[in-house]
Amino acid sequence: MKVVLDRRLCSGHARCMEMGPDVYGSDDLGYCVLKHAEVPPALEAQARLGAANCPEGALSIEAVAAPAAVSPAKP
Amino acid sequence: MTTTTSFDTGLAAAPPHVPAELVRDFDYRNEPLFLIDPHRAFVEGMADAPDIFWSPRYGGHWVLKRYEDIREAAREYENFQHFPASLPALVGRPRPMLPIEVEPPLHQRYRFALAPLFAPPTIKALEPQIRAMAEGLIDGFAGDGGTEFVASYCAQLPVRMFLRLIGVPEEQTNWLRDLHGRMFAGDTVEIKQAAGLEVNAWLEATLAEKRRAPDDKVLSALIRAEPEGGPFDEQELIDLGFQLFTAGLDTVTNSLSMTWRYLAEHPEKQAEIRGDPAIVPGAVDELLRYSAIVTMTRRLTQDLDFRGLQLRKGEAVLLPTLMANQDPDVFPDGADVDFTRKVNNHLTFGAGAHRCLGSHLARAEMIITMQAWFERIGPFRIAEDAALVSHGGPIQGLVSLPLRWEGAR
Repeated sequence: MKVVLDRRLCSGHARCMEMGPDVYGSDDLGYCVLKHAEVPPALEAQARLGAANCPEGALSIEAVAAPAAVSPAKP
Repeated sequence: MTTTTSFDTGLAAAPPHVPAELVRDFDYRNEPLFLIDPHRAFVEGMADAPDIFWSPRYGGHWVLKRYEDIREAAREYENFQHFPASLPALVGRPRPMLPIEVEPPLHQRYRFALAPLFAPPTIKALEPQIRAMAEGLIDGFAGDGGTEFVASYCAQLPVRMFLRLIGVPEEQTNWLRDLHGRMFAGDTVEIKQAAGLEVNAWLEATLAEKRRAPDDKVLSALIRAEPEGGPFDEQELIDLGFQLFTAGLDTVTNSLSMTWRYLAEHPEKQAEIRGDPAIVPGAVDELLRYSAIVTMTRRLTQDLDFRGLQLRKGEAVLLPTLMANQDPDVFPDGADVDFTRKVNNHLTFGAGAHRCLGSHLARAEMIITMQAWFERIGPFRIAEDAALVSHGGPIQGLVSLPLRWEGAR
């Protein structure tokens, strides 16, 4: 999974980083910074929640083509 | 006409380009229901109004109700400018406040200088201070079994924190609150104009003091700042300070009063928080959504075809954020208060370049207040003999909120 950030729309609400602190961070001015080029599977829920809570609609979720064929092993 | 702006009862005639079926009398300052409950004043007052309508109040203005419409008007600054930021225009303030009343790219000169001072990491570092102040204030009345919450808390914590941030002694809290009240709600034009001059004089004196004895606070940082285009001159610093003054003195004050009123009237919602304090951040955002206090104004920079309507250059458009947050397309169950709401992309703090600069501070103050409050005070209610008085306008809120509870917890 990949998050796409539209920097023209981000106005620094910081809802993404509250709802998905491991996926989204803040620059010095308070605008969104993505922490991962590709979102690790364990953080996908955070990524979705953060994107859905953006009042500007500045974040969208894209599936990454041909993901590595490794499913997380279940203990 | 000699009436003052707040009590203007004149009704403008609709211009020919306004379809007759869109004319709807709505006084966003003085609808009678605002005196009882701003939430109801909007939701009930606009229940059967068209999505976009035209009110003959304050010389005539448009009102938007829908989330997408309000968001678009808030961020399309090329068509919808912010100056003058209130309706009617603020008396005693002919110059644009900075940065809210100028648009990009000039806006960035000011916004980018202020942004790091109010960014999430900066506010995070303030949390221990906010918590200590909140606990101290609440401890001061927790054992009394009741308090008038607006005076004892809402008008104290946010204003004191704001003064601390800009580097002004907290002893000025009550005087500045009074000055702010005269500026925005003075009974006559003369009172408002005099208050505007007083704010200017206070800023000049405060800036002079910061030049003489610089500190690490916001005003000194602005004096030292080196934005693109060179340092801010004296007039720019005053216009920046003016904006901080208007934004810092009554926004969180009113949000706190509206939130605590809701909780006082809904014991079952108090119980939810007591049962699971981890929901506090969600509860704060949900009540920010439900009781949004800001009704922004924008002015058309040019004639515009908007959703099939003709808007004309210079016309005012009201953007009640509370109504955006009730839009059934975005919040299908928006009439319900749900502290566990997963998606809460409300517009209480606006949208676009002018998104409330202090939103992170506001959230932190409200979250910390709610935590400290529920750690100290049991079930609370509105005093039985109290007559609540609220107000409409650009910032809605309560005049007073007498609360009661059974002793200290």
